[in-house]
Amino acid sequence: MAHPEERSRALLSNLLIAGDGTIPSRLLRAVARDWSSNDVAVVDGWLLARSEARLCAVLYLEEAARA
Amino acid sequence: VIEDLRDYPRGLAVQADVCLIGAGAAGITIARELAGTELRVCLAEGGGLQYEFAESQSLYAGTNVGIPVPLQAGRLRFFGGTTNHWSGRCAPLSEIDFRRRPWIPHSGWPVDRTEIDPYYQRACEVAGFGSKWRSDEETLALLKAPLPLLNPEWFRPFIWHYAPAMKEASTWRWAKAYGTLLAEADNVRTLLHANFAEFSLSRDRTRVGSVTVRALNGVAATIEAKNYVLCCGGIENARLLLLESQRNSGGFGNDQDRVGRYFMQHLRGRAGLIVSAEPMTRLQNQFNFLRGPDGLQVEVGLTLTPEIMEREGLLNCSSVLQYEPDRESGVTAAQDIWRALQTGRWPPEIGDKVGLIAEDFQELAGVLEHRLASNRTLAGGVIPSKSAVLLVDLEPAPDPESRVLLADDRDALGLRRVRTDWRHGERERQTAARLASLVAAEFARVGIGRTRLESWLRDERVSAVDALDGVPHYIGTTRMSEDPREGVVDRNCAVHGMQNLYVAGSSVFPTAGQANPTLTIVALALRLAKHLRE
Repeated sequence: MAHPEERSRALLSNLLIAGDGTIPSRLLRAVARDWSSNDVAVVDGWLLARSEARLCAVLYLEEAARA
Repeated sequence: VIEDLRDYPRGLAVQADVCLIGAGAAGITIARELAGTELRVCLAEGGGLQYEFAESQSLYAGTNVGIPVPLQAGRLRFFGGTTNHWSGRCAPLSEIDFRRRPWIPHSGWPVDRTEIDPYYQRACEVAGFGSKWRSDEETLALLKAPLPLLNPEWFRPFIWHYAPAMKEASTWRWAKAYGTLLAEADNVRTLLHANFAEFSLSRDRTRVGSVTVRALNGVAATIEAKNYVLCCGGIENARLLLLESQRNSGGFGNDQDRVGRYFMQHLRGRAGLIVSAEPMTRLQNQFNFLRGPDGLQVEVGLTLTPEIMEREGLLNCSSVLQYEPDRESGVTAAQDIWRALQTGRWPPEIGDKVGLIAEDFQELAGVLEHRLASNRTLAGGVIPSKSAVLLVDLEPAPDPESRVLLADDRDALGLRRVRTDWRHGERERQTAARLASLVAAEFARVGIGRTRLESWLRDERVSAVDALDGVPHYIGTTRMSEDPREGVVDRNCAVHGMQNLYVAGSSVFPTAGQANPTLTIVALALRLAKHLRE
């Protein structure tokens, strides 16, 4: 499933770390919220919470920018 | 009394009150129910007491023009019918299965679940459970394995009960259980090798006057009864009505061209693989084939709630897990060695296995202690597993274009053979995809494991037909409806337009549900027996 509208490090980072608390706690909360509301993404067959997929995308875009 | 028609070379004329054609789950249940009553019953079975491939079974040969249907392997033409290879897996249909569901065209039974409930209770006895059938709540309490807290808005546990084993049979067998009772019943005459040949009609064509049955050696019998019931299975019931409708230029429930349509089979497919970093021991004691006290044998799985089916326009469906052995576990390695030695072989890759055993020695010692204490061998009980195949079981959508027809070629009795055009489509794929996605999300949320979904669920270019297997439950071909334009039989299973011809079996189900059909076949047969007595 492709989501070209989210192909931006800044946008993805904002979506991921919105809210209070440390970044890991915000991410964990976001993932738990995604599972509860069935907000999921399928990546090569693997079912991920939307925030997990976004985190992977941010990391990929960071790597790509460095390269 | 049980007789063989072939032993009457001059033929036979039988008078009866009720003539049952076919001695499978439905026919035997009705005969058993009427045994000892004032009614004279004739039970005509096309096969003998044993499987006879070259003779009776070959009459089932036919052709497929749609998705292949195993016309020989899925059916058994001898006393007991398909109960002779029945797995014993039982569950009633759900309340929602009987409802008209606006999101599923052609859904809705003319009876609701509350009307069938009393017969379900008795069907459990007939299916071998005696009085030992337990409610889902009682069963879960007896298993002492509380289920994980899954979202109750999405899921309900679903429990399949397994009928008990019999002496020399791994599960319940109708022929074995009730053969003696029928043989000894004064009012029941069972004729073996008595294949349906033709009905004769009354002048006004609304009543069957008699039925001719024929053995393959040419001997024939005429059975004259007050009422007739076709109990020949989901394909054959339709075939016989089509044959008679054609021979009589109409009638036999087919004036609206409904006979043979809406042909369905349950569907099962692999939806994904659930993996976990840790052994799935706890899950294996919750969702699995499980045994409890007093002979309790069940499989516990999941089904969706009626609310989510309605909200998302889904078919009925359920899911079970099939655990894979953990090849990195010392316990699995020890089990492999044990099994190989039991069959007198030396296991392959023995060095690697011994290495795994050494690494997991403490765990293996614990498992051994537990198995010995519970009087089980090392290979018995739960296998160490860190992955499980997610299987989905689906209700097919009723489709009038999915059907049973007559072929041009003829069988050894001179009757046209059957041709099937079985279809299923996108709706089944959508239901499977949604169910698998919800199970995967919920198992991730509660920390059970992560799931990789199969490609047929996420890519429309991958064939769902190849991914889904038909389970040989033949359903819907003589469906029940109060409206003759919509169905073949009425709410009492009487063929529309006929006063004394009835149909029993899963062919009368308007929708299939996702549960195995036997319990419902028996419940409806008991209900029909009561109707015939009255």
